[in-house]
Parts: sequence; C-alpha cells; structure tokens
Amino acid sequence: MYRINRILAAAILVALIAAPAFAQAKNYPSKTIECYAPSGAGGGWDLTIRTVSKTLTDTKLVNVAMPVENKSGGGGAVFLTALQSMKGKDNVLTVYSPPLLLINLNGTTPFSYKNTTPLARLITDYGAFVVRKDSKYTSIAQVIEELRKSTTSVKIGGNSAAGSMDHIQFLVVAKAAGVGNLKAIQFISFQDNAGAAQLLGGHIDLLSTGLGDVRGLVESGDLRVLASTAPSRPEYGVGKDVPTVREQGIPADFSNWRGIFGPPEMPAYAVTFWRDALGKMVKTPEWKKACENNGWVQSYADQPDFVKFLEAQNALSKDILVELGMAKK
Amino acid sequence: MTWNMITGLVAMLIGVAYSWGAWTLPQASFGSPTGHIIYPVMLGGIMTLLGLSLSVREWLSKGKADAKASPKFGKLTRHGREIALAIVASVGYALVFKPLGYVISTVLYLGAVLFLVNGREKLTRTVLVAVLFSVGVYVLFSVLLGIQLPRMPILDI
Amino acid sequence: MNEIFSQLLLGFEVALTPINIMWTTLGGVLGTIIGMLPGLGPATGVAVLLPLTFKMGPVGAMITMAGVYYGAMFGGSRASILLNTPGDGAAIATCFDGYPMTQKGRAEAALAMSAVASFIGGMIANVAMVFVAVPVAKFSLRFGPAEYTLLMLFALAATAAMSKEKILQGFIGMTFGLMISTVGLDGLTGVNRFTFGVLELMGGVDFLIIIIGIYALGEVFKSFKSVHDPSFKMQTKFGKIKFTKEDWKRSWPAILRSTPLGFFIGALPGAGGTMAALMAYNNEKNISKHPEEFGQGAVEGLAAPEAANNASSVGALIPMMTLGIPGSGTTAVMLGALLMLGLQPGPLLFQKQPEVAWGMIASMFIGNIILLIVNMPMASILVRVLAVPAKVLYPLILGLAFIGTYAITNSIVDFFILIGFGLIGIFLEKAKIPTSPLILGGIVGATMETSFRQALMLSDGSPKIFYGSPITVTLIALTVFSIAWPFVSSGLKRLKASRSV
Repeated sequence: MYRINRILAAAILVALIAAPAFAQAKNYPSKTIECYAPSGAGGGWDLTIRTVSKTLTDTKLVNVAMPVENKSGGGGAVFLTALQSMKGKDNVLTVYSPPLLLINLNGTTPFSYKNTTPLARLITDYGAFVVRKDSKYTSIAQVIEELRKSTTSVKIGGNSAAGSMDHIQFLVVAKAAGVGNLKAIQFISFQDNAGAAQLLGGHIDLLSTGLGDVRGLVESGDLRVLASTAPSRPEYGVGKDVPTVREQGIPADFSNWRGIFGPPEMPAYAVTFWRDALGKMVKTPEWKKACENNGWVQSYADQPDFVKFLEAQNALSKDILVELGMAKK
Repeated sequence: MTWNMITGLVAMLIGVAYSWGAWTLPQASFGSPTGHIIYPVMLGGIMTLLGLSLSVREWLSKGKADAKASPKFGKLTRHGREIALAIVASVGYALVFKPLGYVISTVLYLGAVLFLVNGREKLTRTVLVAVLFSVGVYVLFSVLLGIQLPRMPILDI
Repeated sequence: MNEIFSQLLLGFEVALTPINIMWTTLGGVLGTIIGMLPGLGPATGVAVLLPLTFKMGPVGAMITMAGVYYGAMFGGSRASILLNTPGDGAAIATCFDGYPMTQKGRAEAALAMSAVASFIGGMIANVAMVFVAVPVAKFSLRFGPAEYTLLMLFALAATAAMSKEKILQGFIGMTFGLMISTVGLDGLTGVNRFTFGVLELMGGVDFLIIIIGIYALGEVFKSFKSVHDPSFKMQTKFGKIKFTKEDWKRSWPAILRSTPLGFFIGALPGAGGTMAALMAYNNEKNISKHPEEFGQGAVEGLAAPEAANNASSVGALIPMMTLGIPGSGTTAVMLGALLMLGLQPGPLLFQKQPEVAWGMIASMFIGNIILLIVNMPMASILVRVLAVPAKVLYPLILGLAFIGTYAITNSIVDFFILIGFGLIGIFLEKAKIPTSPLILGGIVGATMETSFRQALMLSDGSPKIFYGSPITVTLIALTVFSIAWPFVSSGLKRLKASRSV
C-alpha cells in the first residue's frame, strides 16, 4: 500500500509537471516570444527581426507579443553564446546571416550554426562596392587593375569586423579576378556604420558594404556603386540599376542571406509552428511591401532546404577562408 | 607607506602584468599580425612609467609624508566591515538573480543590505521598503518599459 | 534664407498640431525619467519606444524620439546633483560642482541652473541646426581616423591635467581606463584580448557599468560611514527652485561658450555627450579667474556641462538628418525606426519628406520650452529625495545600480564587473585619484585605439598622417596647451604676486 501510494504520488507529480508542457504544445504560443537581434538597434539584423516581429503580429499570424531585444558584441558571437544557455526554450527567436558561419570559421567563437535551430531563410541582400561621386574609378575592374599593381594603393574599408562579411566579399571578388597575395590587401574596419562618413570625407577610396545600407547616399548622388555582388540584377531596389561583378567579367558573387533561428534543441511543436508561420508570412502583402521598401530580395527557404543551404555555404566559406589563410587553425 | 606610494606600486604592477599579457597574445591570422599587440604593450609601458614616477616622487618627498595620507592597517573598522558584508551580499545577489528571479532575489538582497545598515531597528520598514522597491521596479521595467527581467520560478510572473 | 524660414514655418505647422505637441511632451517627459535612472540613457529610451513608433507614423515617431534624446539630457543630471550618482556618461561632469552645491544646501539653485542651462544650450543648438547643419556636417566629414585619434587624445589629456596637483594620478587613471577599453574582440584582427575565456567579455566592458560601479556603488559604500554619524543630517526644509542673480552673472558666459562646443562635438560621429560635457568643464576651469572654486560648488562649473550635453544631443542629429549616417547609439536606433516606417534617411530626406525633417526640428524648440516648464515643479518634488532617511536611500541606490546594469546587457557577468568597479571606486576615493580621466578613458579608449591603428593602415605606417592637416596640427597644439596651461597660469600668478611685494 505504502509503495503504491508512493508510485501514485510520483505519477501525480510527473503529470503536474508535464501538464503545462502538453498544454503549451496545444495552445502554443501562449506567452511572450522573446526576439533577439545579435547587434545594436538600427543595423541589418535588427531591422530584419523587427520587421518579422511586426509583420507576424500585424497580420495576426501570431497573437502574442514579440518584443525585440538587442544583444550586441563580437559581430554576433556574444549572443550566440547567450543562445546556448537558452537551450530547449520554445519562446526564443533570433536572426543571423553569413557572419554566423564566418565568426565560427575564423575562430572568433567555438559555436556554429549547428548550435542553433535553423527555421527559415527569408531574404537576401547583396554586397556593394561604393566610391565617392568624384572618384576616378568607374568600374570594379579598374580597382582590381590598380590592386594588381600595388596591393596597398587602394584603401578599402567596411563596416564589419576584419575576417567577416564586408571583408570576405571583397576578397572573393579579388580572388576570382586573379589578384595574388590577398592577405596583403588592407581592409580597414569601421565601427557603428562609420564607413560611409569616412568614404564621403575622402579618408578611404572604396567601401565594401551592403546594397541596402547606402541607398540614401546613392540616390542623392553623393556616392556611386561600382558593382554589386548579385549573381544577376535584382528586380527592385538600388541593385537593379547597378552592374554586377559578373557583368564586368569577374566570375564571382556573394549573397548576404538572412534567416530566422531558434535556440538549440527547440521543441518540435515550436519548430513546426514557426516554420508554418514564417512560410505564411512571406506570402503576405505586408511582408512584400517591407521587402520592397528595404530593397531586400525575397529568398524564402523552409527548414530542410535552409539546413542544406547552410551546410553548402559553410563548406564554401571554409574553402575561401582556408585559401585566404584566415581559417582558424 | 602612503596612498600615493601604493598607487605608484600598483600602477607599475598593473603596467607590467598588462604588457606581458598583451605581448603573449596570439598573432592575428589576417590584417596586420601584430596590430592588436603594439598598442596595449605601449599602454602598459606608459602605465609602468607613470607608476614609477609617482613612486619616485613620493619617495623623494618622504620627510613630508603625513599620517593622514597613509592607510591604517590593523583592525577592521565598522565601516570596513559593513562594506565587506555589502560586497558579500552583492556577490550572493549576482548568484541567485537568475535562479530565483528578480523579485525574490531583490527582496532578499535589499533586505540584507537594509538590515546591515539599520540593524534590528525598524525591521518593519526594512521589509516594507525591500518588497515595495522590488515589486515596483519589476512593474516599471517589465510591464511599462518592456525590458525583460528574470521571472520567478514556478509562478512564472 | 527665405526658403529656410518657409520650411521652418512648415515645420511649426506640423509640430504645433495638438497630437504632435502631445508626442513632444510625452517624449520629453519619458526621456527625463529614463535619464534619471542609472544605466538607462537615451539609447535605451529610444529603443523602448521603437514598437510604439509604428502606431505614431513617421512625424510622431521622430518627434517623440528626439524628445527622449534631449529629455534624457535634462533628466540625467538630477541624480548627479542630488546623489552624486550620474545616470549616464553625459551627466558625469555635472557631479563635479552640482553635488558640492547640494552638500552646501544649494540643491534648489543647482537644479534650477541645470534646467535653465540645459534649456539655453538646447535652444541655441536648435537655431544652429536650422542654419548651419549642412556646413557643420561637411566639416565633420574632414575628421578621419587621424583626426579622431588626436581629438580623443586632446580630451583625455585635458581631463587628466585638470587637477594640477594630481596630474600623475590623473594620467594613471586615464591609462587604466584605456586598458579596460581594450578588453574584448578586436574588430581589426578578430583576436580576443584580455577576455580570459569569458565569452561575455568579447563585447567589451560597457562604460556605463564603470560609471555605475565607481559612482553609485562607491557613493553607497562611502555613505556607510556617514549614516552612523550622529551629526549627519538630512535636508528637511526646501526652498523654491531658483538661483540668485550672482549665480546667473557667473553662469551665462559659460553657457554661451559651452553651447557651440557641445554642438560641434555632438555632430562628430562617435564623439558624444560625455566628451562634450567634460571638455566644456575643462575649458571653463582653465579660463576661470578662480579655478580653485571648481569642485567646491562653482555654479558655472555646473552650467557649462549642462549646456554642452544638451547642445551635443542636438548636434548628434546632424549626421543622421543630413547624411543618413548614425552619429551615436541613439541616432542609430532612430535611423532604424525611419527605415521601418518606410522612409529613406539621407540627404534627400529634407526634400522628399520635409514635414518629417522640419517637423522634428520645429518640435525641438517647443519641446525645450515644455521641458523647462515641466522640470521646475518636477525638481521641487525630486529635491525631496534628500529628505528620505539615508539609511533607506543608499541601499535603494544599490538596488537601482544592479537593475540599471542588468538593463544594459542582460548578463550576470556584468554584476561581478560592477562589484569590481565598486571596489576600484573605494580605492580611488581613498588614494584620492580623480575618477573622470579613468571613465573618459574607458569611454573613448576603443575609438581612440581603432582610429590610431586605422590611421596607420591608411598611411602605410607613416606617422605623418598625424601632423599632415590643419585640423591635426590644431589638435596637437591644443593638447600641449591643455597640459601646460595649469602650470603656466599658476607660474604667472606667482610671478605677479612676487612683483607686487
């Protein structure tokens, strides 16, 4: 009798603990969803996750609050660490892009995309090589020619850390164009998006950045885009009037994809819910309008495709970093 | 030993240790391989020099050193003891902040510090202030400003 | 010129609608409150507002966010004056003479002067924004890495040399602050420095935690002594929030000098309110006829940084409005908000959406007036915090310090850093080492180092870049002057004294 009581008690206890979990799976999501931008407010990641949060709640695809918090540092590595302590949570979402792979491969952080739960790829932006309006360069080929003569003759800057996106996208192009000694090309990394001001002030010659990041100054004519890293011209945004690197005879492209991720070991019911919600979201007119406004190219991929894509990208990025001598040893 | 002498010696110690730490940093695999090393080594060198000059200056003016400018060692004063206890309480707070959630951990922490300062006098006030502050701040941050604070376990509020 | 006036008129038409007056008031008051809490500055305040801005529309959003920005400058100094615990970097310099004024029983005058100086600084800067925004933006572009390095060096040297008897201690503190700023991931090479394997340290140590640790924790620990002192009294009688004619006579030239300085420093991307306020304070102390009164409750030492930090918050809007480039953490968030609302920040904003750009500028005139009116009664309530028994008040400051720290990074690791800086604060107090050089070092250190290295990369290692332009030469001269001046001026005085004998 005594033993049965104990078993019964244990069973009740288990049921009590487990009940909320079952209930959650059914009426998920019932509580606040915590969204995180792994960078400061105002950047590309921040803009993406805030737009996702706004679109999902505006279109009533999600009926709970989705506040966005910023956790910046280390080019996204600081939040990637924090994400590990959120293992198994069902109410955490974040956004990442190629730096997620690069900061792991170049040794900045021990964690990689494998320490997250990829949910969907949403959009793609492309790299842009920008100069001042009075610059002597009119094509990326001229810049490459100059670099071939002397690697330090062109001052190249960007807004991401060295060894991350803005740096790599330029080197990918330089490599395809046959510039030797890639490590000697100096890349000056600026913080807080100061790169455009430095370019305008004439302190650097070329800024490697994203097409979407310099729209205002390109439209006003203060800056010129020499080339974009898109495989072919996108349908809208600044990119549609800009020649691609390929058009200028250099066989290279670089995509700045952005996707939504959950914490490692996110419960299956949550994964199913978000795959479904994001899949529906990208078809809404609200989302399409936001993409047009920001010059983003839609490139939705559901979880299975996204994971395959990440694997392929990771292998590709690794090859590039190894060739450049920037991979972690 | 005057405070200035201690400052000088500590500065030298920090300067040397910091320079050594910078010197042994791994080389960068790209960019300028030692760009991130030279500047901190310079800083450490400057710190060491500054500490050295302060110590030497203090040593030369030794005759004028007065007791006021020197720390008193020996028995821990009431002030020192209270600071030490407050720091212990703060470290404890940091440790229980996430597991216990904001409200409970803060009630305990503020209660402890208030008790430390007020003793057994006005215990009711101590408890009341600790609870009101914790709940008030929680509401202000979590509800009004939308800044998430650690929730209470079990109850999840 | 006429065009500017007609545009400004359009701005006022937008800003003076009841709904927009409401947003202006809301933003300003919210900013004031957020500015008062330790650790919460304008950047947090604006970020908190982000989700609400979708419902406000572009004009309402910009008006409210700008209100939070300058409102925080009004509010940030309250805790500095009353409790010696600045809520934000821009309010540090306000402690130097604001708190001594409170200790002398002049809290009411200090609060009144702070509000009036903030108001005048903000208003003049607004006028400047209307007429010289574009030339100032163009000039600020001439600041490349070399210029930034030297500007930071100048600000640091001037702050460290502020107290001439403690010049060595000042430089030691400054160097320590610079060392702290090297902790974390190095953006130029991708190497982690001094993180000791703690991944949370990769993002570096936030300067706000240094400020809260040294000032708030330090002040509380110090108070443990005084609260048991039977002769320790709190203030129970409060006068009107106003200052004397003599105060005004001493302050207005300081306000007029500090405003343009703050405005320009604010307009430089990456410099910011802390530097503006500290430079204004140094400047006033250097040219004052009685520098020995500074730090003892000199009213002009309070007015100068207050005018400067408000002016800097207006100046910081310039790179954002004219170029679409964020000049500070706060304007970065505002830019993000503009993008989410479907607007394209940049040079064309004034042409494409004049109602947003000019509406915001006009609202700042109205906002400053509203804040001046709101702040006077608010100050007369706030000053009564001095009537709270110290044995309750100081433990509560500890509570606020921790919550402020948590709000910055959501990380427990920072609690330990905070406690560590509290201990450092005790040491600085005991050893009489000035704190502001250390803090300024922590704030500008990272920018100074990267600028220094960027400059050398640009020049292929040649130091010539540091003395090759008129701006760099001027900055070097100012740096040398600021270190030498305290000695020269006291030498001159001695000379004068010996002659008159």
